[in-house]
Amino acid sequence: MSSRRLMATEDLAARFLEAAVGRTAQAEVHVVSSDSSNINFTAGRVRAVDAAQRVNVSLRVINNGRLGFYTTTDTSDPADAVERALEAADKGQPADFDFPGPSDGPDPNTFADETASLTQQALVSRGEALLGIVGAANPDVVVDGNLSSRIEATALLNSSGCRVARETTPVTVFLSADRVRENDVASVYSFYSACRLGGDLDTIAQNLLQTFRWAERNTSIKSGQMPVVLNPRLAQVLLMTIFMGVDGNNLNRGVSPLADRLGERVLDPRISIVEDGTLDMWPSSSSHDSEGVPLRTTPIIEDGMLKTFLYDLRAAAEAGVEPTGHGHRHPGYPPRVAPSNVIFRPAQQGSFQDLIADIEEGLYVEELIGVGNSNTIAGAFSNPVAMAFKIERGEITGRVKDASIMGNVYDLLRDDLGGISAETRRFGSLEAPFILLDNVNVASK
Amino acid sequence: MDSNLRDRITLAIKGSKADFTDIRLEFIETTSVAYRGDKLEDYLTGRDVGGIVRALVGGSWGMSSFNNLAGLEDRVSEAYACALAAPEGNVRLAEAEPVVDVVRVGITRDFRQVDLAAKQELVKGYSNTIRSQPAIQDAMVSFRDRYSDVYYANSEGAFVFQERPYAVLGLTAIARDGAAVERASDSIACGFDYGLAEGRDDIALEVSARAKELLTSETIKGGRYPVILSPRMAGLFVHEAFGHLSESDFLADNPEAQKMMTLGRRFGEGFLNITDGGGSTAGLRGTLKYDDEGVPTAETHLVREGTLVGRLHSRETAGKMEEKPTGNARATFYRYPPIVRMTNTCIKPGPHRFDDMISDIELGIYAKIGGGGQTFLENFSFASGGSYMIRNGEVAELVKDVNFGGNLFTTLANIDAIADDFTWLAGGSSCGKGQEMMLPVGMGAPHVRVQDVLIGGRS
Repeated sequence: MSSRRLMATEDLAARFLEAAVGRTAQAEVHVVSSDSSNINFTAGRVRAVDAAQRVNVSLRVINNGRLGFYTTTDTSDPADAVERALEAADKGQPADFDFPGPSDGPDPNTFADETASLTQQALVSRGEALLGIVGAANPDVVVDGNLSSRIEATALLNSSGCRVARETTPVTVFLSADRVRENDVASVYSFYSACRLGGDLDTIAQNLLQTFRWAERNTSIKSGQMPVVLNPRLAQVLLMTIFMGVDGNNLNRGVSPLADRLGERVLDPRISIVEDGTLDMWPSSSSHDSEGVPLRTTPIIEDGMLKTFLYDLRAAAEAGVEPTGHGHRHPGYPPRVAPSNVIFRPAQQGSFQDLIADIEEGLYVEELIGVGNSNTIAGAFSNPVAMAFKIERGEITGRVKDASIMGNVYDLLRDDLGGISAETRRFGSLEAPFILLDNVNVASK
Repeated sequence: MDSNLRDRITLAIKGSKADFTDIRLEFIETTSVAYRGDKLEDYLTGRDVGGIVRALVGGSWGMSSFNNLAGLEDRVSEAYACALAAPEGNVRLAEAEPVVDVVRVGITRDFRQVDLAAKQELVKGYSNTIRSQPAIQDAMVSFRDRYSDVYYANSEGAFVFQERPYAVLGLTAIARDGAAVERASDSIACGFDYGLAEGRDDIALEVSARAKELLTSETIKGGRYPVILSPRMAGLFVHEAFGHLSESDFLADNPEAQKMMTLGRRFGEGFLNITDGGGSTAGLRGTLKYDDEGVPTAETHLVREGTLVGRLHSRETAGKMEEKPTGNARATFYRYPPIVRMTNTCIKPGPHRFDDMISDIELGIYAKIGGGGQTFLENFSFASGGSYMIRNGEVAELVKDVNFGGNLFTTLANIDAIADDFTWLAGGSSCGKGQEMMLPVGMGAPHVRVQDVLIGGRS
C-alpha cells in the first residue's frame, strides 16, 4: 500500500522526468522527501524541539553520450532543471553506460508504523528516560542528547523504465556525556540508528555507565608493542581501509592495494566481512541502490579471502563488469561507490571478558581522535586515544590518557589477529565484535 | 536583495506568539568540477533554497526548517507549536542591538562570472600536470564553489542580508610503487578572488613531489619530541588544541567545566596571545560581518599574555553565562540552527626568530604541512601531511604517518617560543562540529615551538 507521501514523491519525480524526456537521450530523476522531528537535550533537559521538511531533486541526463547532473531543493521549475543538467552534459564526462531498466530487488521492511506515529511528546519522554538513567547514576556527569525520527520517501525514475519508490522510518539517537573534575575530563558518546527504537537504548545507557566506572581511576602505560582490543565501533577504522581497497574506482585507477588479489587470502582466515542491503529494519536497507541496481548480500571477505570489488554504474562500465548495486548517494550529490549495511562477522563464542582474559598487559580502546586523517587507503592509521583503558592480567585497571596507537590495517588483520568476540554491538549500519590485535604500536609517556 | 521577500519575512515574524522569533532564509548556488586522473568525475551545478524559523517560548526553543518557502506564517506557527511540546526550559538570550544592514562583499574576481567549461579546463590542466610527474599513479583535483544570499530577521527588529562566497581548489597527488601508495594534498581558498586558483602549477608540482618522496620515507618513530609548527600547522593547532575549548556551548550548562575554564587562568607564557574574529580581516574563510543571529563579529581576545581572558558566545550561551555575545553563532546552512563556532582564529606574532627556535633542537620534528584534526574536549589530535625530522638544528628528511596528540593544558604550557612571521592560512580550511560538517573557518599563526609533543609511531 502506497502512502500519500510516497505517491506525491513519485509524482514529483515523474514531473521532472516528463520535462526531460524528448530533450535528452536518457534521463534519471532521484527525489528524496522527508518530515522529521528532532529533540535536542542539553545538560539533561530539553533545549529544543524541531520539525523539518526536506525535499531534494537530483537529475542526471545522458545526451550526445555525455553525462550531466543538476540538483535542487526548489521544485518549482522542472524545465529549468533539465536545461541546467543539459548545460552540464554539454562538456560532461563521456557516459559509457545506460540507466538500467526495471528489475526485481529484495523487499526488506524499513517502515515501522510505531516510528511513523511517534509524537514529539513521545520522543521527549523516551529521551528523558534515557538521559535519566545516565544522570541518576552519575550526578557529576553532564549529558547531552539528540533523538530524531523521520519518515522519508525516495523515488527513482529513469527513461529506461526503472521505477523504484520506497518509504523508510529512520530513527537516530545520539548521546554524549562529559564528566569534568578539575583538569580531568572524561567525554563519552554513543549513537544508535535503525528504523525503529528498540531496547538497544538501555544498552547504550549501560555501556556509557560502564565507561564512566572504568574511568574513575587514571593509570599509565609504557610505550611499546602490545595487545590492543578495539571496541566494535572502532571496527570502522579497519573497515574504512578495506572498503577503499574494494572500491571499483580505486581499482580502476590502479591505487587499490587489493588489486590482483581477488580470490586470494588477504586477511586472517577468521575474518569475514559481509555487506548486506537486504536486512529488515536496518538503516541502509532498500530494494535497489540509488541508480536502480538491485541490492543483495555481498560477501566482501570470506574466511580471509577477497571475494569481490564494488561498483556503481560508472565504475562498472569503466572496468567492463556488471554493476554490483553499490551506487549510493546522499540527497543532492551524485552516486558514489559505497556499502550499505556492513557486518564484521563475530566469532562462534566468547564475550569481551573472555577476549581480554589472557592479556597480561594491553590496551582496550573505546575511542580514537582524528580517525581517517592518515594514509587510509594504504592501511596506515595513527591516532591518539580519546578513551582507552589499561588491561592487566585480564582485568581493566584504569583509564589511560596521553597515549597514541599506530599500525597498518592490512598487516594487523593478516598477521596479528589475536581474537574476535562473539559479543557484538551495532552502530547504525555497522555491526561488529570486539577485536583483539596483537603487536600494535603504543606510544605513551 | 529581494525587498518583497524581506516584507514577507517581517510579516511572518509579526504574527508570532513566541517570546522571541527569528527567521533565516538562504539561497545557495553551487558548482563542482572534479577530475580523477584523466576522467571528469564531477561536473555539476546545484541550487539549494530553504530556511529555518526559531521560536523561543518559556525558555525552550521550537524550530521549523524547510525547503518550501511558501507559507512562512505556517512555519512560524509550527516552530511555536514545537516549543510548546518542550517542557519549560532555561534558555535566555543575551541582549543584542537589533542591526539593520545589507552587506555586499567585495570580490576581486567573482567565480560566478567564470563559466563551467573554464573551471573544467583549469582543473583538467592541474590533473595533467600532476600525472605527468614521476611515480604519480593518480590525481584528484577539484574546484567547488558555493554562493549564498542569506536573509536574517528577528522579532526585535533586526534585519541583515549578507552574501557569502566560498570556493576551494583542492589538489591531491597519489604516488605508487608496487604495493606502496602515498598521497599528498593541498588546497587554496579563492571565494573572494578566483584569480588565486589560476596559475597554481607550483602547488601541483609540490604535492606531486611530496607524494613521491613519501614513498621512500620512513614511518616516524613514536614518542615525545620538540616540534616546530609552521604557520599553517600552528593555525590548525590553535583551532584544535584551544579554539574548540573556547566555544561556550560546552561550558554554559556545566559548572565544573566553567571552573576549569575560569577567566584569569594561566595557560601559557607571556608571549602567547590568541584571538578569534570574523570582522577583523577581509577575505578569509571565516570572514563575516554578522553571525547567524545578526550579531556583529567582533574580534575576541581569548588568551592575552598567556592568560585566559575571553570565550566565544552565541546569544544563548552569553545569556546563560551573563556575558556579552561575541558574534560566533554560526550555522553551516539553513538546515541547522546556529551554534557557537569559530570564525578566524589565530596565534598572534611573538618575539622569537625561526632560526633561533630551530638551532638548539638536536632531535625534533618540523611540521610543515597540515592535515585533518579533531578535538575531544581537552584532548586533541592533528595530522600532518608533510613533516620533517630536525637533526642538529636543521630540517632533515621527510617522515610519514605523522599524527600529533595532546592535552590542552599541558600543550599550551609547553609552547616555549613564538616567531614573528605571522601568516593566515591560504587553504580551504573547514570545521565540523556535532552533526554539522564543513563550516568555513580561517586560521593563522607564526612559527610556534612546542616541547614534549606525543606522536604515535613505530616502536
